[in-house]
Formats: sequence, C-alpha cells, structure tokens
Amino acid sequence: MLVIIVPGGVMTEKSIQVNVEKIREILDKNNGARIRTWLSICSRCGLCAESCLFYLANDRNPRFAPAYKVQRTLGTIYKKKGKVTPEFLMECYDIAWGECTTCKRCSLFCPFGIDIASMISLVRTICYSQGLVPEGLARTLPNYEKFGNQMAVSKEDLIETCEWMVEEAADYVKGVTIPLDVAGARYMYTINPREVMFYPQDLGMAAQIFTVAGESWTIPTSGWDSTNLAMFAGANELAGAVADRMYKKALELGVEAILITECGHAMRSAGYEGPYLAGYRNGRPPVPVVHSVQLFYEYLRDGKIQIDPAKRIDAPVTYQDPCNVSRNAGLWEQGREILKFVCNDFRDMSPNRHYNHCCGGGGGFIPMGGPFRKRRLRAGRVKAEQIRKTGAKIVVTPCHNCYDQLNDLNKEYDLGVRIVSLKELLVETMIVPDHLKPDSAGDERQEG
Amino acid sequence: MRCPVCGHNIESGKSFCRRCAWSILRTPDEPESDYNERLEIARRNWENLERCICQKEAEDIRKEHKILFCTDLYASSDYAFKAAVNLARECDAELIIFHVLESRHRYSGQIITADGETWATKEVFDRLKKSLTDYYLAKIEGQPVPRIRIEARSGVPWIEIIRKARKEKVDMIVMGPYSIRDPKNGFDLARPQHGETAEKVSLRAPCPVAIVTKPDQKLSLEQGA
Repeated sequence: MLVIIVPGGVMTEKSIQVNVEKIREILDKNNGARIRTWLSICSRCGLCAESCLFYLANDRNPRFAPAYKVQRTLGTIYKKKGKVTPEFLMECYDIAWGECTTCKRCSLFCPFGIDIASMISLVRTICYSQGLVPEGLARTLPNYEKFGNQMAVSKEDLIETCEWMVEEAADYVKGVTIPLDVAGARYMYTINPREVMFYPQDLGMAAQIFTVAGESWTIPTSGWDSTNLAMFAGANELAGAVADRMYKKALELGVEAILITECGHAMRSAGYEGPYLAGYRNGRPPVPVVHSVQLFYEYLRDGKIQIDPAKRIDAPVTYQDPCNVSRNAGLWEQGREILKFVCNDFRDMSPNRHYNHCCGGGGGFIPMGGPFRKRRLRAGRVKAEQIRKTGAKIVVTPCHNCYDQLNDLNKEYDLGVRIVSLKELLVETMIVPDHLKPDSAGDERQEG
Repeated sequence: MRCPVCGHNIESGKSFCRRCAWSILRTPDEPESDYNERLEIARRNWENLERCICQKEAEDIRKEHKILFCTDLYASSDYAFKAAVNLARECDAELIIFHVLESRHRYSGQIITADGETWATKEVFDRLKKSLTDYYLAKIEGQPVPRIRIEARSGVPWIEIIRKARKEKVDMIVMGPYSIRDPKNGFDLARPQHGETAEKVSLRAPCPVAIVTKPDQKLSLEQGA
C-alpha cells in the first residue's frame, strides 16, 4: 500500500509524484567517499548471496543477492542522477523493505566489507522522501511525535501499568518497586512500548530481577521508548530526534548509563546509529548505553543473582542471536554465558554468534504487519530449519522482534518449541534471598 | 432533593438516602422538635462516621457501582450478558460492555476483526461499537438498564480487560468462559471450558470475576465482594 506522509501525520493514498530535486539533494548529501567506493568496487563476486536469508529462502534466486539488490536500487538511482520513474521507485520500495532486513550479515562475507545494509537504508530514506513507506511503519511515526513512543502509550498508562506490575511482582519478591524518574540512579531503564501494551509482565520481571540484584534503576516517564522505527522507515530526522530525546532525559536525570531492555533494534538505535542520526559527530552516545544481556551476564558473573541448581532447565535450549545485539553490538558471548548458568543442555544453532542468520522479522518487518507477512514467514524458513536441526525445545532470545517472529515461525513450521526471553528464564530459575521472600510465602513454607 | 444528613442527592421516587440510609419520610405524628433532634443526632453520627473511615473507604461508599461485561462476540457470552444486565439492575450499576480486538502481532498496529486482519482505525472501532450496540441493546429484556456504556480497545484481551477494570475501578467483571483464541470450541455451551482470556483475567483481576456458564445464573455484589 502506498502511504503519503504529510505534516501533522495525516496519511492519504495517491499516485507517486517523483520529486527529482529532493532525491538529488539526498544523493548529493550522501555522495561521499564511502558510498562512492562501495558502489564502484563491488565486483559482483556473489559471495554475499549465500549469506542472505532471502536468497536462501527463495531457492537461491539471484534476484535476492544483496549485491544485486543494492545495484538495482541505489546504483541505478545514482546512475540516473535521481531521474527515476514512479514504477522504478515502487520497485525500490519493494526491495528496500520487502527483501532486506538490514541485518548486515552480507557485510561479513563481502571481501571488501561493503556495508550493503547502510545503502539499503539510504534507499529507504529516498523512498521516504517521496512519501513511500510501508503503512505499518508510517502509522508509528506520528505517535513518536505526539506521544514520544511508537505505540501512542500515554504517560498515565505507563505509570498505571508500572503500578499494576509492582502489585503482581510483590507476590514473588518483597519490597519490589518500579522507581519512576529517579535522578541520580545508576541505570535509566528504557523499554519497548510493546512491554506496556502487550506484555506488561516483562516490566514486572525486570523489577524482580533488579530488586534481587539490588540495582539502582529508574524508568523515566518521558524518553522511555528505546525503539526507533523511524530509523527503519528512513525518516532520519525523526529517528535522530527519537534517540536524542532519550539521551537528553538520561542527562537530565544524571544517570550513569542508559539500560536497554531485551530489544535488538533499540540497541542499534541507542548504541551506535542513534548518535549519528542525532548529530553526535563522534558517533558516541552522550551517556553510555548498556544492553540487558550485558547487565544480566554481569549479575550472574558477580553473584548478584544466583541460580537455584534445582531449577536449572533440563530441556534442550538454543539461543537466537538477535542481529542488532550479537552481530552488530558484539554481545554474542554474554547471552551464551547466561545460558551456561541456567541450562543443562545448551545446543547452539549453526551458524551462530555474529554469523547467525536474521530471524526474518528484523528491519521493521514485523511492524510492517499483514501486507508483508507472507514474505516474512517465507524468509524465516532459514531460521526455522536452523532451530529444528538443534532439536531444542526452548529458544531463548533477548529481542522482542525475534520473539514475535519466532512465535510465528513456531506455528508456521510446526517447530514445537517454547520461545522465552532471558528475563523469563532468570525469574524462573533465580534464588530469591530470604529477606526478599514475601511474608505469605514464608508462612506457607512454615505451615507446610 | 438533597439528603439533610449527608448532602447526597436522593433520587426521585426514593424514600431514603442511598448513602446514609436517612429516611426522608417523617414518623406519623412526630413533633417538629423530635424530628429536628433526631436529624441533629443523625448528622453528628454521620460526621463522626466520615471522620473515622479513611479517605479510600469514603470514596468507595460514595462511588457508583460499575459492572464490566466482557464479550468475545460469540454466543458464549450471551449467558454472561444476561447475568450482567440483571446485576446492573439489581445494584443500580453502570454496565460497561467491553470488547477487545486482538492484535495478532504484538508489534504491529494490526488487529483481527470479523473481516480479517486490518489496521486499528477509528472507523473499525466505530463500526464495532455500532454492532455491539445493535446486538446487545436488542437483547435486554424487561426493564432497561440505568446506564450502559459500550467500549472497545485493541490489544491482548486479558491485559486490556484488567487494565480497564483497574482504570474504571469496577466492582465486578462478568464474562463467558471462552477465549477468543479458541472460537472453534466456543459454541458448545453444554461443555464449558476455560479459555486463556477467562483464565488469566480470573487469576489477575483486581476485583471479583464472574464466569457465567449457565443461562439463569444470578450474581450479587455483596456475595461477590
């Protein structure tokens, strides 16, 4: 569906009018040594093809080879100096969002290290400038502007959900709280609005873990959404503002670091793409950014959280490396280390770590919804086969996007697995110290 | 008219105040002085009572009752609706008819409707509210329910039901036994089963939950609370 974004966030459909001047402006702005070199040195060797899940899932059709996709889109736009037809733009739209999750796996296999995902992102920016954005992404953009988060969650709803989850979590851990807007806390915990809207237990579980670990943390009531779908929509200016809102809140509260929930692209935005988008020329966030995988690993390593040996999981477990956490943020070992504490039978996928395949739901694919569903599930065949080969019964992933996609793949390919987050695993297996055990639980134990 | 003891509005046709139980009808042949004395005592007692009870309890006394009826849009909810209507009449409560359009993808703004998967637009909600109004208002037999509100949201049904119950501070949630996730098994009323929604709501709700499985089940707030 074609969606035109106009000021104020109202969306209407109409035929595409190519604004060549605007495309040239974007081309000129990005026509640095980097893009020029990448486009000119690609030798069409095809090594990137085998790395791409779309290529593998579509019977090795050369049309899905990353090098082809980028030459067909950005390469042609540069050659034609922006003078392209509406039909061609539509094709670019289709390739940029429907045939690439910007997972960056192909860059690892390119002998020249060409960053194809960045060039596909540029194609998305060009499409966005012409009003071409998948509806699912376009619908979130006004929400970022109006509510400060992608799902239009009001401040009142956030606070109410936190209160609700504190009440629930208190059944398991005494004295549990979700501190809001606490200046000087160690971590500003930023979350995915999906947690408030669809999965509030995630907040409750985080509160339990942080309370047991004795952490100093806070959730801000603004700038709390660490996701950045504007980044995937090609709306770079808005994407920068979204990331900057979070940085500014962290500076205002004077926290030591921004802690990212179990979300992949939130790490990509906050940790290493957001700074550029927000105009920090050194590419570093003004406040250090830490992902939950890292912190949870440190808790276990340092003994702040201890696992009950009786609760260690016997069922075979595998780990889904989210592209933006493992490959792109370098946190592939931390997740595995956590699983060593928690599971008795860990089985890695092959390939794994930074070479792991994207689940097929990244790059904005899941929020793009129904119109892209068929292609998403087809692309996920590679991941489904990887999981099946491990024989695992539990798939752990520290990414909301992977979580949803794996649940869909579980049904589509009849995998018979349970998908869990690290928080779920930790809450199920950790030891709650005696002084934090709820009073009623103590009474029951005594009676029993 | 206003109650001379607590100031609460006494509905027309009622002979006593619903808040403090003061009877506005005088005892036959009661002298004016005796009545005034009795009124003065009642006022003092009410003041003392108001001072004693904490603010929250006072709010509870003053607040209007609310019944949250949750429908899955299947016939399985009809018995629950009948029970909710009777209860609302019985305790002069506001009846909130509530439906949640399920989001299949927790990330996407798409929802599942009778016409398939679509975006959660205002038009979709307006259409849904209209069909809820047409369907349920036609089902009310006998006396009308004092106050009815029809609301719809999108999301995960059990989460939105509990969120609504917390926000509205409802006195009771009334629903059928089935889950919208399992519509295929949702029609056999002779063999009621707990669906995921009913199960999670009953486990986590902040108020009593009535899962109605029989056509003539009666509910009461006093017993429920």
